[in-house]
Amino acid sequence: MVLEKGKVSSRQGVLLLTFTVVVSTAVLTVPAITAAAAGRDGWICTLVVATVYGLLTALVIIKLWQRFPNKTIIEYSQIIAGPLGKVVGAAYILWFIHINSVVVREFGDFILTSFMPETPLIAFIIILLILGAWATKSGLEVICRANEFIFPLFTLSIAGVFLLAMQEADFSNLLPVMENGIKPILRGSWAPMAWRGEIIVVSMLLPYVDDSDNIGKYLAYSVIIIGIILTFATVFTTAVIGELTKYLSFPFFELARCITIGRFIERVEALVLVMWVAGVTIKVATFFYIASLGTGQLLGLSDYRPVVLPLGLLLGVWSLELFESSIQSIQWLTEVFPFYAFVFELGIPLVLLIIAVLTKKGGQQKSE
Amino acid sequence: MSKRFVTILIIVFILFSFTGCWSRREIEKLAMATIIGTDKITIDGQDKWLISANTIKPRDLASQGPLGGNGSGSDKPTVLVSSIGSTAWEAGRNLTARLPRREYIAHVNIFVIGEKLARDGVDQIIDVLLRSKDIRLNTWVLVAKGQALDILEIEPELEELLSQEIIGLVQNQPVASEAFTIDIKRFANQLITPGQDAVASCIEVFERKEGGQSQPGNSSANNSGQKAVRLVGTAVFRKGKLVGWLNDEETKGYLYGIGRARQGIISLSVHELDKKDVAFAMTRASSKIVPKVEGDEISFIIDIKAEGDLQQHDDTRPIARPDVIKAVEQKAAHEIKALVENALNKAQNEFEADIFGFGNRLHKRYPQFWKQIQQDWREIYPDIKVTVNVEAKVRRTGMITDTPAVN
Repeated sequence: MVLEKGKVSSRQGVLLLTFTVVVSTAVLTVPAITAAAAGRDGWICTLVVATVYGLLTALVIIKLWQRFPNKTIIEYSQIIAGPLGKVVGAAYILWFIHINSVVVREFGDFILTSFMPETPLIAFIIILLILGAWATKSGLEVICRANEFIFPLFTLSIAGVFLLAMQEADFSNLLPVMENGIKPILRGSWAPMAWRGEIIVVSMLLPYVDDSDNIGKYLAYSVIIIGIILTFATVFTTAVIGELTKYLSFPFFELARCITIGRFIERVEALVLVMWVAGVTIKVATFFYIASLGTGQLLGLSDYRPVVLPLGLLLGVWSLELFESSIQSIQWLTEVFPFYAFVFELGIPLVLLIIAVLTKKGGQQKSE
Repeated sequence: MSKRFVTILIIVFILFSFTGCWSRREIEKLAMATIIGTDKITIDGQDKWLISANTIKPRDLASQGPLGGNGSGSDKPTVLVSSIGSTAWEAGRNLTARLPRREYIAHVNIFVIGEKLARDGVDQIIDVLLRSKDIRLNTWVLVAKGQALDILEIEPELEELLSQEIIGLVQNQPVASEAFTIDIKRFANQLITPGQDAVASCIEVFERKEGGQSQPGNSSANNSGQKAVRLVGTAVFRKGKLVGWLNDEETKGYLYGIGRARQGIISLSVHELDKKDVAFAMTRASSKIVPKVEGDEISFIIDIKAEGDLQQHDDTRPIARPDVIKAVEQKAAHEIKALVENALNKAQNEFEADIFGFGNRLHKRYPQFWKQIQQDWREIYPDIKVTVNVEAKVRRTGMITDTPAVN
């Protein structure tokens, strides 16, 4: 039973999609979290530790996929773990929905804080979820193609902010490096690690990628490119904003606000908004899609589309009720999210892989 | 059929929800503030905030456009409003009682802090500046000598708006290097960086001597043209509290010391001791502050390089000769060194404020050593030995060589 009949290329489905999924929210939130924990050394967290973790996650995903090339994580967890696999699958679906509702909430909170304080949160949530549901119903190909259109817009906006902020940068703000040893850096690494691990979404998409030779390569590229972009974001915010970075809620946004070239290029933070809205739409659509697809597969439906609307309602209510305040959401993202994410990004896949290797499940079909 | 119905439903929904937003602000319903002043005042023994704002009257500004309309009755394009409250924002919202439009502060580019508030401590105001989504980090921070409200009352002379006038002063400052300018971002960073005390530009009201009043043809406009603002000197903070001012000369020395001096004139005595007879017009300057730690001894070296032209020579003796130029260079270096040492002396001994950021440089260069002394830095700082080395170069002598002798 194939719920998704579309096929995407590995460039669309692996390289570009994971990039947008991870960077769209990370670029706004991660610099604040790393700066709060590691101060001016935040860039080491995003560059080194998180990349290693991301590559490790990618390796596990690829190894599992090589054993079960035509199955998603929901399907092969049932083959590997039997009835317990159903529980794992259900947990993954819940996790996708939960993460998605957090993303939706982050989106609303950011716009409320920085642009439209009087608009009710629900307005943004509804609009975003309608877009997400629409994209999900249209299928994987549509999401990937939309992302192909958005990707250049997104990267150019980020690159534009970097370039324009260059003249304000004072790189001596990064000194001294590793003043308090390695501990704060490790502490600041949890969040970027968790974000990088969101590449786990491809474990739901790999069966629908048609040129399978490039998957491993592209997934590794994606992890590294994300690392470089996020490192640039942390380096620039620290260089431009300095010591103050650790107090800001959205350092990257503040970085864009600092840009003044002559007296005519000013107030370019709209670029950040464009980037944020476009990227988050793709991210929400992707998580929405894999949650719907997973539900369809878990329940043995012949089509995943009927579950889209119910899941949408669940998402909306959940993201509204998730946090009482923005402080709670930041605390959750800093303290709970990483460990919660590690279980699903690396923990369960690793256990599944070990069981599969020990019981010699899958793998034989690899040659087909 | 049902698909079409859903599509239409979505379109209708989008039509209604995307046309505008809750948080829209129509421009004709806004009162756009250009400068905000904050003061602390005491009423019945209680400290209150006094917020004042220079707000544009859009219609008047438009009618006094380039085509030279006569203005519509009133001659000021701005209105000064102020109000009092227990917190800064309460005071700010209390402006509503006086303003028929919503106060809009996203276009504020000057923030004036009154002297009393600055002396009480700017830590109270820095949160106000950073937390608001409408105030930008690149807004200029100025400290008023006296009340901020008094600054806002001044009428601009050359520009149409006071904010334009002050922005002009701020942007023009590198030509003379006699005032220090800083925006919210750098100001806040200075306040929170260990081993660094804050400074900010100083703005003051002064009595005009040019006699702006009673000029024929200017019937009513110039009655209050007696006062004007000037941007000169520097406000020095210690632990976030204003402790004193550097005057223009000391500010020049300070700017040379931290490498922020761009251009400016240094007057020298080359031929005789009692008369300044040469003007050295600097075109370029840089400085490097290098910390040195030997055992427990901390010292700093400030290396300054200045480059410029001969702008004026008030004597008929020959000057366009390499050996005389050398002498001018030495004198200039000596003069700059004296300026910097004077500022240093004031910072170390009078204010005990580390405005040069020596502690910060030490922190960056010797992080481990800094950890040991960070607690005692304020006691150590006044006695630190600072060596100032200046190298000055005269590159050109202007349109003439020697001064023409008058018969």
